[in-house]
Amino acid sequence: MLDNVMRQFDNAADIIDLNVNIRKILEVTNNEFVVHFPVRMDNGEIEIFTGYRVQHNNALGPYKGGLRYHPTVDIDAARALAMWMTWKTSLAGLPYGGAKGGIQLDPTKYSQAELERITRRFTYALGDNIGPELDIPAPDVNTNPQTMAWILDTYMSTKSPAERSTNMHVVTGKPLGAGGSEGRDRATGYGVFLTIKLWAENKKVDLKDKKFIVQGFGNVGYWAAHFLEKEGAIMSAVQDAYGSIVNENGISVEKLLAFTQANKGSILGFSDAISIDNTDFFGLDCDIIIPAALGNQITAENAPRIKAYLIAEGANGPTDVEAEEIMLKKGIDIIPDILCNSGGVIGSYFEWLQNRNGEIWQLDEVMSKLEKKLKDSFSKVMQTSKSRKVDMRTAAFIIAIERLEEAYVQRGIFP
Amino acid sequence: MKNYSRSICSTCSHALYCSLTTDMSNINSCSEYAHYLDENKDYPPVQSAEKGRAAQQKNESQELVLN
Repeated sequence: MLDNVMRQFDNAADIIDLNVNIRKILEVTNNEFVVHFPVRMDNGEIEIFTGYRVQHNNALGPYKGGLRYHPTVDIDAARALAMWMTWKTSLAGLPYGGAKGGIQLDPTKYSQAELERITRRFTYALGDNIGPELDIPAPDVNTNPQTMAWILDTYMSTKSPAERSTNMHVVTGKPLGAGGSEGRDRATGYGVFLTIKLWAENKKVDLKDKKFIVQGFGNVGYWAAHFLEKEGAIMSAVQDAYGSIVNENGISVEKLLAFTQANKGSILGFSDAISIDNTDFFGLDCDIIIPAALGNQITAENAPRIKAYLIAEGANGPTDVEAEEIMLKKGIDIIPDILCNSGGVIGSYFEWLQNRNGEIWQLDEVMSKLEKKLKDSFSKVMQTSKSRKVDMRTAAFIIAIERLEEAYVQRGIFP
Repeated sequence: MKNYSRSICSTCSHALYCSLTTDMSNINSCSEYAHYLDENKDYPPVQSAEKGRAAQQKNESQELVLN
């Protein structure tokens, strides 16, 4: 993971001939916290947990990034993911840096009450190393709005009564009743849709009746499909953990959602489509592919069979290096993950802003601000891609790194 | 289930039959990941800061703060 993030950074840094001293700064993390903390289990015994928080860079603003609960959480994974967040927030033009962290545990082994105590004690252990103007965690693997509400409540409880309400923005991704924002649920998927729409406008392609296929019918895949369908595009195939289905004449996004909700989340058995072999999925006849599930899905093996002319990376890292080369040679455009799925972190920024300013925005206000922000990022990537004669992914990294470089050049290095 | 030490698939309930990938060795995010907390929606109510503070004060005499 860290190798992959570093390779993308080095590639862009070489192209822009990044100042060697700034490269040294960006190659390492600013702070790394490892905390060991005790929690009382339901049976009365004490268990010691290990939590991490890696803060990569804050040249542009407070650190921002998720907290995950999983046995694979360690300092190396957190470093790579924190660095990734720095590039993402920088490209999105947000006043944030990058961070990541979590607790090394298997949440299936603990009760809800234990997870609450673990979360609260982790928050207490991190103390003032997180904060609304310092480091703002968000949900990630096995953490959710409820986890954020526990962190918020614990963090606020450690402050004096007069200060408490000024700390609502210590975490984002909160439940609506605890300071969350309207539109946070659809922000990433809407961003995926919007980047496709902006690409289509740029290439003078009408999305009406264009066929798209989606890998992953979770939050991102569903909302991206929902908005594309509203635009007149046709969802012709879907793949999830259970299998792949296709209907050349179109699959209703809302009907499929209703079916999955009544079918334990599975798309298999949907009456208006037929099942196909999973290995045939990416080679299906379509205009747009939205890999919105997981990494390394489009590879040198399946890339030559791709018939679509656009890949919109809703997931992180769905295209591997060899596949990207093959597709770029074939003239297939790729909207890179760092741009395509940045709607989520922009949505988080809006939640943070509302809490910080004591405001509550309506859904349409959130969506229109998201559109404005994404349009800005998208047009910068297109301009840079054209002016530097590079692909969109490299252009995105160039913009992200140059923004950080500019901050360091203007501010200098203390002392 | 195999022990994919570097992958979130190690704790995903879809891993045994997952149609998305056969290489589960290094997956760090996935939209289909079976989210444990979402499967258990019986959350306790969120405490307000004031209630939390009161509970904290009440527990101070009962719990040893180790960290």
